Amino acid sequence: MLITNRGPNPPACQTPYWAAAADISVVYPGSKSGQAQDPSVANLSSPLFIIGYSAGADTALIFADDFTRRGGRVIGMALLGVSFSGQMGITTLTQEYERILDELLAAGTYVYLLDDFPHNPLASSYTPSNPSNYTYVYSNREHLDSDSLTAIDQCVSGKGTPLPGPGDGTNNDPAVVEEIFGWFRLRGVQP
Amino acid sequence: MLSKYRLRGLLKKLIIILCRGFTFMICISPVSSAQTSECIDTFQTFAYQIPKPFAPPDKRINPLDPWHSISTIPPHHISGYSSEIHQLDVVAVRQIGQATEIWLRGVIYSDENQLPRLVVLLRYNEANASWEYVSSALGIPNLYVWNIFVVSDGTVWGNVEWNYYFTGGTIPTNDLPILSRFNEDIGHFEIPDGVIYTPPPVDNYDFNMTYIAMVESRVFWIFNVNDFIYRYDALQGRYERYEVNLNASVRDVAFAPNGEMYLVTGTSGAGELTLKEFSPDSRRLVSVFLPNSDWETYNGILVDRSERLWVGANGYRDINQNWQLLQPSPKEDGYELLWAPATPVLASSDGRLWYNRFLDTSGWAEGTAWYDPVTNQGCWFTHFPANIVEDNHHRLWLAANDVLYSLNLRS
Repeated sequence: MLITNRGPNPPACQTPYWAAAADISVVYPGSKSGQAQDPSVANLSSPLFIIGYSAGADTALIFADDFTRRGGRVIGMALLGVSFSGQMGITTLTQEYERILDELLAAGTYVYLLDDFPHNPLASSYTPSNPSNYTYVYSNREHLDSDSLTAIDQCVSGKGTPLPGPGDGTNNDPAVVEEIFGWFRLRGVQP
Repeated sequence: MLSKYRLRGLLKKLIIILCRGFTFMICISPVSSAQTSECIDTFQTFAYQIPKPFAPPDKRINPLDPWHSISTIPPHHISGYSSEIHQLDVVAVRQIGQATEIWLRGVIYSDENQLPRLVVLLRYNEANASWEYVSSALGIPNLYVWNIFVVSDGTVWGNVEWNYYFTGGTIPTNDLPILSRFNEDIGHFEIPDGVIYTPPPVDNYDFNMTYIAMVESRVFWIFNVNDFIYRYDALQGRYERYEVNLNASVRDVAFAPNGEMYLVTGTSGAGELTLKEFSPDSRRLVSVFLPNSDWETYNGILVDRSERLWVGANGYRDINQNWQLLQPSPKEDGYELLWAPATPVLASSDGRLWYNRFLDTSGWAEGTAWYDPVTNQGCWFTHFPANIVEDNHHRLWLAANDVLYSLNLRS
């Protein structure tokens, strides 16, 4: 088996239920800044609802930072398994993520951070500069990134072809999709 | 509060997905490694373990002594683009008389994401310590050069790639030329006369399907998923077609001294790989079966100076066809290793193997390292993932953190 820098096809393989809810899905091309610059998202208009999974969650923050600097508006963000790392020109997301999240929340973006990434202190330790339980939630779900689950990352772990139906991980459990989308709907944000 | 009724119909949903790359693994390691002042850590840690918890270093470490800083890469100013160069790598070295010319490649991004990314090429002339940027454009719309090859007669060649980014995410519909050549007079790459063309891709998930490798500083081997295998002798200017169906993209190639070659084939992205052996004389393409599942995850192959076939950093097959496992590949856990396994990039003239890893994790799960199969020792010497090229004077070259570095293997 191989792993390459280029990621799996989101709707066909890695995140079918998340991608089904999206108008646009972006394959990871080998770097987070490169994904944020994908031509398919170069000229989107506001408002946006952004969902990022794994490295794509880091990309989502890099993209949102750039998009809002250009006057764009992000109404909601679901960050699934974010690591807060990645190159951003001369700086890194590790150095910038607190600023970006603070700015997004200050601008009215609703943020759901699902932390399924074990041993990552950055996600659990982030505290918004102006805490609001209404617009930001941190949810520790390390159990959603366990290899005991069926088909977590079926596309990468060499376990064969993708499941024909739902799994029970962050990437492939439709119940997780519904739960998180429900959090946004309660706040008047329709993903 | 925003109303869902106001938003409905206006909202665009964007999903950005990627690699699942971050968990830990625990594994045994028979590789011993002495950590010295030139090392961030051992090769063992670099290749088979990941520091826990997830914690990108406060400061990424540049290549340590005995690597020498040669020159800082100058910024490239193009209107609308950031001057920062991403993915900067040394890709080729050329001797011009006694002078050495180092070719590098990088990517620049639009300041405001309004322009497509650009691939930039640049060369450093060691004799006068000068830098020059070279266009990657080919004079044909949407085609550019990504890989660089230096032929023994001093000519510089490039592959041809479709600029998916420049075309707003479209794919070509016409046949594409497979090779380009640098025109010294005009300072540009161009499509040479007589070049062959291969069919366009079938979908936009895998839009550059031709893999090119060069051997003996003159012979190109060209593999296209929708076509046969081609051999091109750059000194003779002659193509030869081998009617062998690959039925898969070639991901990596390693040449054996006996003229045979090993191919890694597989689908784009993550997926199953197949290791194959191609014999040009018999025109036979056969599978090379790895011993067991301990070998199944790897990235890249390489034939070293002792003619051993290395499969990533897992181990090797010696000239007697015996497999020697150094470290089982991760299976159930260790996504960061699955996503960015140590990748062999060079077997240098002193017998060492050089590896890099890239996971875009601010230096946490990435960098460059060497491993000496004779002493069973190794060294992770920078957090920057780098390609490494050796010149005719037994000097290694790499680029890290916008600086060109060199290491003299004879000193």
